Amino acid sequence: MSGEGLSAITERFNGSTMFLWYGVALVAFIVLYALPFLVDSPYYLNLIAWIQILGIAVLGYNIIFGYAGSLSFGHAAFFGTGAYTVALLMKYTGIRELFILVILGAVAAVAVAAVIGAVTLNTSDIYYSLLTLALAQILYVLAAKLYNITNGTDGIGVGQPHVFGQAFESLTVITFLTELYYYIVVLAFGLSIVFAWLIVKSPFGLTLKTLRENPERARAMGIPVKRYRWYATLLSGLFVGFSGALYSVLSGHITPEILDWTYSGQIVFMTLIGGASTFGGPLVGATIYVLLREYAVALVSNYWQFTMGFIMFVIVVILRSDGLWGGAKRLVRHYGGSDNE
Amino acid sequence: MSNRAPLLETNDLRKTFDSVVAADDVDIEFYSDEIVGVIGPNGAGKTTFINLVSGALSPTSGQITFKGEDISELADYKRVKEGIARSFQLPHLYDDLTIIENVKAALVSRDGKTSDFVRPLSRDEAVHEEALDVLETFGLTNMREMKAENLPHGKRKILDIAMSFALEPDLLLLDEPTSGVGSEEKENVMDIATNAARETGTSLIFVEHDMQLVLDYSDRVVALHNGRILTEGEPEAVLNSDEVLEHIREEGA
Repeated sequence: MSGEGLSAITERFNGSTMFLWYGVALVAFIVLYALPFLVDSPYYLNLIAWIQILGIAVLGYNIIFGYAGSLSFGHAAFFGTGAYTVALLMKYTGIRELFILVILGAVAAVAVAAVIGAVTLNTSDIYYSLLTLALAQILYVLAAKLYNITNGTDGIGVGQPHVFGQAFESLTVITFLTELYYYIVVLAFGLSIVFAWLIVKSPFGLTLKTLRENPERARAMGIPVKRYRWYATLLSGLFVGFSGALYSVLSGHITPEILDWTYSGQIVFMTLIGGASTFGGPLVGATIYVLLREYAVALVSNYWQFTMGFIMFVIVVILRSDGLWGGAKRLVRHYGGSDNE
Repeated sequence: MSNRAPLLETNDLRKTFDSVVAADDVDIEFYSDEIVGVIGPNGAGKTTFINLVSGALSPTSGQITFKGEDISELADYKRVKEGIARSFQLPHLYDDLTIIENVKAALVSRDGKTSDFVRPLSRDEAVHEEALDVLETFGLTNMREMKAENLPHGKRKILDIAMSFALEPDLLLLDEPTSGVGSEEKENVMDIATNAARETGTSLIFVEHDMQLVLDYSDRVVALHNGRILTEGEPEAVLNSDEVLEHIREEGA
């Protein structure tokens, strides 16, 4: 068979696998929406909501890392800004409406991303990574030291917001989180996936990949590399800030820990174990990370960080940027399938 | 030729790296629809000249005029929009992307669609069809779904050139388009590049060490030595000139 014929078949096959993926995504969201009817445990529902919130964060992180190719160690700054904006607004202003709070949290994170993106514009590689880490640490120190405003390391309690102008004070915190907020998180997660999917499949997404693959070539093609990396940072900040804003309500209490570099490290960790080179990898990574952490803590107690580090080491050495998700896809392809996600 | 306004003109173009003078007050003109071979021994300043014109390097002093506009201070990516494209001595590809994605990236940039983040690229039939046309012109159609990293070296050079052509430049700078290419494939690379240039009316400046290729494919030849223009003119006359015989062919261009 000619190469031409093979390519045509590959394209058609890829087209059909795309529909398969849309189907899988639809079923996944139906299952997520049905879970409160199937799972009776608030603990597990909160865990699943947490996974989805972290999923939004890693989707955003992967825009700058997996697609634009810049290894940021400062994304806790965006997550923490989103979370602290919601907490501080609830503490100091009369704003209670969830949608306004979350939008303002995401906008504040984008503003921080605009500054961090601009300051790091002329750096690359390890210098970029260290500068993002250092800038995020400034926010961590501010949150920890400005005790009069932020309560320092004691953190800030986040109350129950209103939803569409309606207060749900009659509901207990658990009921609010599992019977109402859970659905909002699923909706936010779904919208984030659709938005991120559109981005990475768009001409803009392809342009971001050129930054990762060969910035010198990208410039020689007329692409203003620094400007596009800044755009990627803004978008990344939008997702991660949105995630942080959602997290503050779910958690009910936030501390400067979420601005610390170790939190940035966790975001990197999740993306890497799932696979930065794929769209779905970071989502798989966030899921595995949360479950591993929950069960590693239970099983190995004080050695959980060692255990996580060991798992990360093995995955990165064996699967590199493919991660678990990319590795699984490679396995499927090896046994006769194909995939274009 | 001198009656026409030059497409590209350099005046007293100079580039120094510490004490090394890589371009020494270069004055030269290039015209539309020309194919010009640039020769010179290693260190003559050929790649520096390409880098200065493409904007990868800023001149120490002097002026570069393109289509009548001074572009000396213009950023490299902005020069692409003005109509100057380049290829690289070592192919600069997007290795983890497929061949067709490499070409589409060029088309998207040319069409100013790089900031479009709503419409999936796969639905852009116009870009897809044009990418297929480019691949057909450069003989890469059958490999379009391969990752660029898996291409053999000769095809990598061709894809590098194809991506530059996809930008539809008025002036294309090819830095050693046949370096590292097997001798039997060199003519193929040059045939493809020069035919595409003739068909699209693109001016071509190519740096080349193979004197036979320079003779066969150039309308005009410029010889560089120690950052200076040694001589220029008709290919045969330049290649057989005393200056070239003494400074370039003996040193092994």
